[in-house]
Formats: sequence, C-alpha cells, structure tokens
Amino acid sequence: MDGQLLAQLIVNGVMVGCDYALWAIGLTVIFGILEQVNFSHGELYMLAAFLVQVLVAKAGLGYEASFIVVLPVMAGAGLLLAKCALLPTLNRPFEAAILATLAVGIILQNAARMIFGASPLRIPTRYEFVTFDVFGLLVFGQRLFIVAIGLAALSLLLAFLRLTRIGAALRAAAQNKDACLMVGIDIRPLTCWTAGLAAMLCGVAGGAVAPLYDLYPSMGTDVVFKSFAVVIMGGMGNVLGAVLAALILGLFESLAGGLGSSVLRDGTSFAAMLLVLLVRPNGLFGRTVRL
Amino acid sequence: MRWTIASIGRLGLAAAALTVISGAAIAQDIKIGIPTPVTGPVAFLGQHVKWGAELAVEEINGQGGVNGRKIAAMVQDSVCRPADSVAAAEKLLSEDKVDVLFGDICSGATLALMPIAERAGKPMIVAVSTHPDITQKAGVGGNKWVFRTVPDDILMSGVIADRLLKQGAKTIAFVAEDTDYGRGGVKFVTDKLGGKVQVISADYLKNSETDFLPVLTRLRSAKPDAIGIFMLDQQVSNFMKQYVQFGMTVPLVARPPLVSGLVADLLATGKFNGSWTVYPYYDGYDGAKNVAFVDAFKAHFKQGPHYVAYSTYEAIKMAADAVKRAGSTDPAALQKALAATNYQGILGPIKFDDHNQAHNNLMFMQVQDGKLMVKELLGS
Repeated sequence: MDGQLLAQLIVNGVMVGCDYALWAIGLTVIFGILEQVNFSHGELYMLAAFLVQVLVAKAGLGYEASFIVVLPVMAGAGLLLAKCALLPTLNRPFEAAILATLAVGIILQNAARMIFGASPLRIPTRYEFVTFDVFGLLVFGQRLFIVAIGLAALSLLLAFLRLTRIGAALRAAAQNKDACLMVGIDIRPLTCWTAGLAAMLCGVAGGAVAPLYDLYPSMGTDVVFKSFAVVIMGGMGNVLGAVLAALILGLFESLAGGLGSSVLRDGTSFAAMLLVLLVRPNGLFGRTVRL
Repeated sequence: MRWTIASIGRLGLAAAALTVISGAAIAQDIKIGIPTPVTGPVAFLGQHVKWGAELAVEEINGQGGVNGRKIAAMVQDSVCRPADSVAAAEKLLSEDKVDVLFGDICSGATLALMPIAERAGKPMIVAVSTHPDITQKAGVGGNKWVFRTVPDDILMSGVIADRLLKQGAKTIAFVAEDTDYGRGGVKFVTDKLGGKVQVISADYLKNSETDFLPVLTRLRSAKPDAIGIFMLDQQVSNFMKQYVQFGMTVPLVARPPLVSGLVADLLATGKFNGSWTVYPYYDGYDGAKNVAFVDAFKAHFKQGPHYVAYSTYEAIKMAADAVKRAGSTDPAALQKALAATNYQGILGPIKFDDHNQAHNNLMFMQVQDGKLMVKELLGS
C-alpha cells in the first residue's frame, strides 16, 4: 500500500468531514431543540450561497465581508421559516412540519430557478486555487478556511447555548417542553430563536462550503441527504455527535472512493448509516452528549 | 349567486366551446415536443436546448412559417432521467398532441423514449444523445420513426482511440458518469484501443456528484498518461476546478465538454493546454454559416450556443424542411419526408442512412494557450 496515498486520503477525509459537519449542524440544532425535521435545510444553504455569490460577483463586496451581510439576512430567513412553517405546525403531528418545510424548500428552489436561471454560477475566493504542499500532502486553501470558520461557528454556538439566558432556555426546551411551559418558558419565541440560529449556520455553510463547487438552484438536495445521514449517525439533535459522525463519514467515503472505486463511495456511506440504525438506533453517540 | 345544476351546465358548455376554439387554433401550429432537463444536474444543457429551439422557431415563423402554418416548440421537464423523460413525452404526445417528438439529452432517457414514439406512430428526432444503440434500434429492421442527426459514440470512440495511439499514450484512466452515456463511452474506447493502451482504472460517478477528491487523489499517485472523461458540463466544471487545485497536468481527453461556456475561464488559466476533446460542434468554429448562427444566438441569449443548442436548432430547421416537403404533418408522410432529407446545415449536409443515422461532421479540438482550437473537421 502506498503510504502517501493513504495519508492524503485521510487528510481529504477530514477536510470533507468538516464540510459535512458544517452542513449538518443547522439541521441537528432544529431537531435537537424543536424535534422538528427541517426539509428546507438544503434550500437555506442554497439561498446563502446565492446571496454570497451576488454580493461578491455582482456587488463587488469582499468575500469575507459578504458574511457580515449574509448572516443577518439568513437570521431573517430563519425567522420567516419559523413564522411560515414551524410555528403553525408546533402542536400538530410531526409530518405537518415536514410537509410545511418541504413546501418552503420547493418554493425557494423554484424562486432561485426563476431569478438565476439554470447556468451554474461560481463564487470566486482568494483561497480557491491556493494549495499547500506539506511534505507531498496537499491541503487546500478553501478547505482550511472552512475548518477555521467551522470551528469558530461551533464555538460560538456552544458558547451561546451554555452562557446566555436564551441558550439556557433553548437547552431546557430541548430536554422537556412540557416542563418549560410549567415554569413559564414560552416555546414560541424559542422556535424563532432556533430557526434563526439554524438558518445562520446554513449561512456559514453556504458561504464557506459552496465556493468549492458550482452553484445551481438544486444544489441543496444532495446537501440535505448527506446532512440527514450525518444527523442520524450522530444521534438526532446531538451537535457534537453530528460533528464526529461527519468526520467519520468523510473519512469512510474518502477511503472507500480512493482505495476502492467511486461507485462504492455513496453505497458505503448509506450502508454505514443503515448499520448504525440497526446496531445503535439512537445514533453512535445517542443523546448522551447533549446540546 | 347560487350554483344550480343549470348554471353549472352552462359553464360546462362554455368551457367545452372554448376548448374547441383554442383546439382549432392550436391545430394549425406545427408542434414539436421536446422532453429536456429543466431541473436537476443537467439543467444547464436543458436551458441551451430550449434556447436553440426558441431561436429556430423565431426564425422560421419570422419567415412566414411552413406551408403557411406557424411552428411551435413545447418543452417539458425530463430531469434527464428515463422515468421522468417518458412521463414528459407521454404528456407531449397525448395532451399537447405534438407532431414531432425530440429525443432527450441523456442517452438512457432517449433510449426509453424510442418505443413510445413507435407506439404513438410519430416521428422522433434525436439531436443530442450519442449512444450507438439508438442507431442500431432505428431504421431498417427496427424503429422506423427515429432519426438521429448527430454522430454516435462508436464513431467518436474510433477517433478518440486513434488519437490516443498517435499520441503514444501508454496508460489511461477513465472518469465517467454512471449512466448509459458514461459506461458506454468507456467501453467503446476501451474496445477500440484493443489493449494497446493500458486502462488503469475506470471510475463511474453519479451525475450529481460534485466532490472528486478521492478519484483525483488516486489518479495523482497513479500518474496515467491521459484522463479520459465522459461526463457533462456542470460536473466537469467542478472536476476541472478541483483538478487545478491538485496541480495536475495530465491532459484530459476523450469527451470532456471543453466546448462549454462554463469552463472557458478554467481553460484560460493555461492548466489544460494539451487537453483535447471530440464533439459534434463548437461555437468557436469559423465556418461562415456558423459565425452567423453564433452571432444571432449571442444577440438573443448573451452567451454562445452550446453543442446541444446548435443541434436542437439544426434539428428543428430540418424538421421544418421535412414538413414543407411532406406538405402536411401526417405522420406517415412526414416519416417518408424525413427519410429523404437532404438538408444543408451549418456544418454540412444532413442525410440519413438506412438506420436513419446522419453522418454529420465531427470536430477534433485541442486547448492551446488557454483557448480551445478546432484542429480538424472529420467526416463520420
């Protein structure tokens, strides 16, 4: 076995795993706190990516500066999602939220198609074609940026949940909603906070990960499936579990695709998901490592 | 107002009358049905198909239509998947009552449409798909309704194998989409090479895959003399971007869509000098007829025509020519007229052999100094 090849595949796996983690955090936050599945997750990611594209390529804003505009806009989008889809379905069976968020996703995707057309777009960044050669191992500039911004987003999220009053309320809601109502915590504003947080995380993902690839209206579809795989493997609603599961999945896929063949790759990742569901139905890390 | 049985009845009558009137008006149009991907990973090409059709229709109607009738092109989303494509074609045939059906972009979908055209007894023109089975199943002894205006993958794989041998390549690795097109392309080139060039790997990826790190990592250490590509534009655009990040210099060969406007800026980096492709068309070709077509297209749609836009445009013009000679849209007469086609196209004459296959020209193109150049116009 070629040691260099193996080492590069492991490095790739970690880098790809970071993409997956950033994709999945927003989804797992909504599930963890609200126990609702957000099927418009991929479209929120797409929306953020197109926003960054417009700001950078059309309005001439700097790539990093565009985040300052995109994150508040995404928080607003999250709020809108809460008002349109999550609040009205709060006391309904779980499939109502699935259908409502799915509808939001379909509307967003087709709106993007009407506005931007089918020609793929690109987000030019200064890291795009920067590659570091570390003793023959390649590390890519944009991927390093993703790792950095991903760590920053994760630390801020955990700090917010642990150190603020709202964060404490969100954690309480994640544990027991009925008890929240009993002690006077209103779930409705928390729903808005959660959706806003999740949408901002999608904004970080869209801004950081999307420049790796071309942008097109249906780009969220693959993201949402991969995110589901990660969230299910990590334990629904478990943020750190999702990050670990994302890294494991990234490594797994990288090794399967690199040592085996590309056909093996998707098959093995979903097989891994099935296996986890069979052996540990609550995910690899269950709900023990809570929010 | 209260709804009575009578008022509902009157409404029903009015609605029925309306259908007949609009039905009569539409019946005068010559209708062409095009199942093509409006959504999904091949939507970029579907957009070009639509644009090519729009330009052809506008030009034909601007000159007074065909036999005094207007022509209309109807596009239905197929996602380039066989099942959706069949549903799109069924709708075009049964609801829109199109006179001519077009094939889809993806070969797998087009192959699925062929029996539907045959059952409906309507002519079908394949203007984009290149799988050889389409020809083998068409014309003599098979499906007489299907006509193809573009060369197939076996013809192209012959050219590709020749070039590889001439170039003195010892090894090749294939990266292809996991479809009839991708798997077929790899198989035909491998067959034509007959073991004279060693195939070190063949990777098949789903056509929505955007991440090529595992494949590129493996190819970087395997160091083939050439990387053979059978994938479409959006996917290759992502592939080429990551290829540049890997700092690789192995030429891309076979059928990378270097003709695509999507990759022009990547070619301009100079990292793909020496890469080559075989395509039925490139908008940079300097033939006089083509320059006129490209100018008209750019004036309308702000970008150059992709191969699929050219071939759809050309096929609609050719269909209009057949309707003119048939004198009607009667399916049998139209089928006969199509078989007797001798149409002067942008790249040369289009005529069909007894498998309803046209032998249009092919282009061999190579990247030089960051720009794609037509090196040779080949007969097929």
